[in-house]
Amino acid sequence: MASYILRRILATIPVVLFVMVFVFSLLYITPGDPAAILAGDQATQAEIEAIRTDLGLDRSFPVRFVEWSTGVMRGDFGTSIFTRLPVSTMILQRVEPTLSLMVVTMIIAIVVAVPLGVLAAWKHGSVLDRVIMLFAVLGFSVPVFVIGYVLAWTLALQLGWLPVQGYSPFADGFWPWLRSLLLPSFTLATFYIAIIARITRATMLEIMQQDYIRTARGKGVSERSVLFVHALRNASVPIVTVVGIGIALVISGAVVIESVFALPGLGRLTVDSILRRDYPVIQAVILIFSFVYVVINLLIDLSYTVIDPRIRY
Amino acid sequence: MMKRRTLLGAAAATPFLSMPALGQSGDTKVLKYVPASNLTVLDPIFTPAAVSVTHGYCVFDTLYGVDASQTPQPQMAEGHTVSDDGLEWRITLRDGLKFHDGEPVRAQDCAASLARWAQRDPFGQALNAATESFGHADDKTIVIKLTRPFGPLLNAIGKPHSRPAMMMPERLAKTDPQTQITEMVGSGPYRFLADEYVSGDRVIYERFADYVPREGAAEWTSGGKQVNFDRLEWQIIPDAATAIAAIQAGEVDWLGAVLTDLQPILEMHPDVNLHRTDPYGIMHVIRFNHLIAPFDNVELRRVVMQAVDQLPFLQSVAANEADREECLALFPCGTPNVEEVGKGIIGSLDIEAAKQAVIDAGYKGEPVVILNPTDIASIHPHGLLAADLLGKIGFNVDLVETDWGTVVQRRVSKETVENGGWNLAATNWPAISINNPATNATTRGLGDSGWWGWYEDAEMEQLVVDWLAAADENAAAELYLDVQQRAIDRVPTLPLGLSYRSGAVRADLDGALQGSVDMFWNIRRT
Repeated sequence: MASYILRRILATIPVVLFVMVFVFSLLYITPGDPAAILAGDQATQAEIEAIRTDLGLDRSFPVRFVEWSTGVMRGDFGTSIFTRLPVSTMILQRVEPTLSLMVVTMIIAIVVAVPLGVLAAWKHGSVLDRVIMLFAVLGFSVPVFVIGYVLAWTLALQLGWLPVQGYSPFADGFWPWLRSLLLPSFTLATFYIAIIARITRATMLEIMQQDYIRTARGKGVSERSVLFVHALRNASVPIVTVVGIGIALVISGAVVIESVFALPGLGRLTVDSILRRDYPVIQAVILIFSFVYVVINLLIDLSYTVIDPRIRY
Repeated sequence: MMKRRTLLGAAAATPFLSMPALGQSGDTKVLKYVPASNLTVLDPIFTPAAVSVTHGYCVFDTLYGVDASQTPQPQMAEGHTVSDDGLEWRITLRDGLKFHDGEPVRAQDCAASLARWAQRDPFGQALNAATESFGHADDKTIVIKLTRPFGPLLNAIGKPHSRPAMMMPERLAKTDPQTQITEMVGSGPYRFLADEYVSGDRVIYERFADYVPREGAAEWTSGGKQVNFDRLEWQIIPDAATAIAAIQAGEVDWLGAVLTDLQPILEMHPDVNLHRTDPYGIMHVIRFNHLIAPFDNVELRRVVMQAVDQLPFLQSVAANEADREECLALFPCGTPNVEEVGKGIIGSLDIEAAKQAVIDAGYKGEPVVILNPTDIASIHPHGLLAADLLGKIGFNVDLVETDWGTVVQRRVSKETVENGGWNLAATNWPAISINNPATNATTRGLGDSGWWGWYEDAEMEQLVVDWLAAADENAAAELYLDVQQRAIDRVPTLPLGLSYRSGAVRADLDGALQGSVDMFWNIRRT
């Protein structure tokens, strides 16, 4: 197992290197000039050129790439073209909201979706099953920002239970932190509730046809144990896979949700940076996201061995 | 009977019900403000962006401000004297001025600040061209030595928008003008808290305890800047609908901008008032590229101007009639000494007549590339309307719809359209920033060294030089009129009229001022 983990970790190196080259090249050929954006509407060509020179944007591709990549190796992602702040500082300021959003979203999604999926499978064909699946379809179909606006209007603006927007850091207290995350997390979770509930239901239905379920019932095991111990545990591998992919996908969902609810996370930082062509920030964020994807995939693979002891690496 | 689970559920929900909405305003000493856009560049001399100017007026102060009639008034200055030949200006600083680092404000700081500003700002560059030196006689006396008279000197150093001449410590002001200053040490009414600044999320200031306001009422950027809040918190809310919800819920006090189609929601809200800070509005224009065909031909520019009806352009960005104004001039109507010299010219041709005029003017069917940013709501419809109009009157239009980042890059290309050039691009200017011949980049004829579009007009430039050196106000007004008529005749830019933007303020706040940008003195919680 240890050698497998080591091999997987080593395998991330070429992936990250590829991403480095790819992202840098892509941004290099993408139209848009941060110096022109920075200079503003009144700027003359000479002023734009002067800013470009000052920022080092007039240097050749190899020079800029070598300087950037050697900096990254040392943990230095450079300086934002616009704010002149270290990119690492900007990213560190944004990690907590996004991480919090991911964690709370996935907790809500799993806590709601798995029981719903089990319930739908257990009451297969019933009205309850159809209602749950109807909500699942809605969760797939309705854009998250629409759900977000509706929930914000209802729960925040009309009822005043939750804040409309903004983020309260964990350091300011658990309840303020949680309250600032409930609306965005529930909004984002609707999609994952739908997808996890459907996969849970489908897998459970297949498992419920197995001989060992019939045997368990024949032995007089309670229905709750049949569902949650015998069936759900054996249905866990595909569910965990979907949850893992979901965690990775939350990052892309965060881009929209962080804008709608004014959360100062990495998603918003990414969009802002792309729109103003803040290359060092874009490169760093994409690099970090790709690394996170790789790590999540590794964790998913490792979790299989816990869920199903027959799986060995 | 209540079941155990119901009781537990109710208990769990209690904290959510009992807690006040997060960030709810209620602290009388904190003012929560949502700017119209994100603050990315802190240096207000480096960029003309309105949000940086707003930030600048918190942290920095100016030697002169302006009142509502745009007349310069002393601000950091006690007063000034001018030599008989008009070539030496001495400005005296008032007592008690301090920077946020505790150092006194000296004439040396101000001279260095003026020198840096004069290299970045167009009005400052005009002053710089007539200046021998920005120096000092002693710690309290700034000396500006000119090579030729410069009538609007106080208007230049007191300009309220797009790079106002803000004073910094000498050590910062000596920074290369092409490099941003990131250390925020000014002498303005608020102190910037760098350790609480999160770009893209929040900008925090505290009241500067050592700030000494002038006597008298505050008006625009002049008068007594009385601060009534201990702390000023800017929160960046990128989504317009969320910002509207936040002010309705009382989570923020002041929105810098409200989208025109969301204004009716706030008009009906009992606890929120709409507030129009800038009474002069925004001037919408379409810029011609003068370097390449077909708009290197003045006749064709004239035909387009004669064919344009400003109303649909204005309706596309301002739904309410009160929020728009046709302005048949290349200088913003409503600002001092501006006349609608385009009356009877702009919009005087119908489509059929314009079609014939395009042929008569010698149009050869060259493609007309219109750059149109899809992500800027105040510009995008103008690209679409321009494409429609030009297509109708016989131009071979190529509408390039792309993002703002790409537009600003391509806009500075002097190539032919086949090699990535362009012919037309819409944009807009705060009217206050183009309200005289020197600052109006849309009419200046500097050619290669001027604004993109590179309009070259030696006669116009001579008029600007004459205006800057005018002996008195009457002579200046006459020359200004000549500039306006010259601009209408040569059509460097296509004027589309004015629109007005409103923000919103909670009803328990009183004293929000008018000005070029939102300002956070005078306002108080009632």
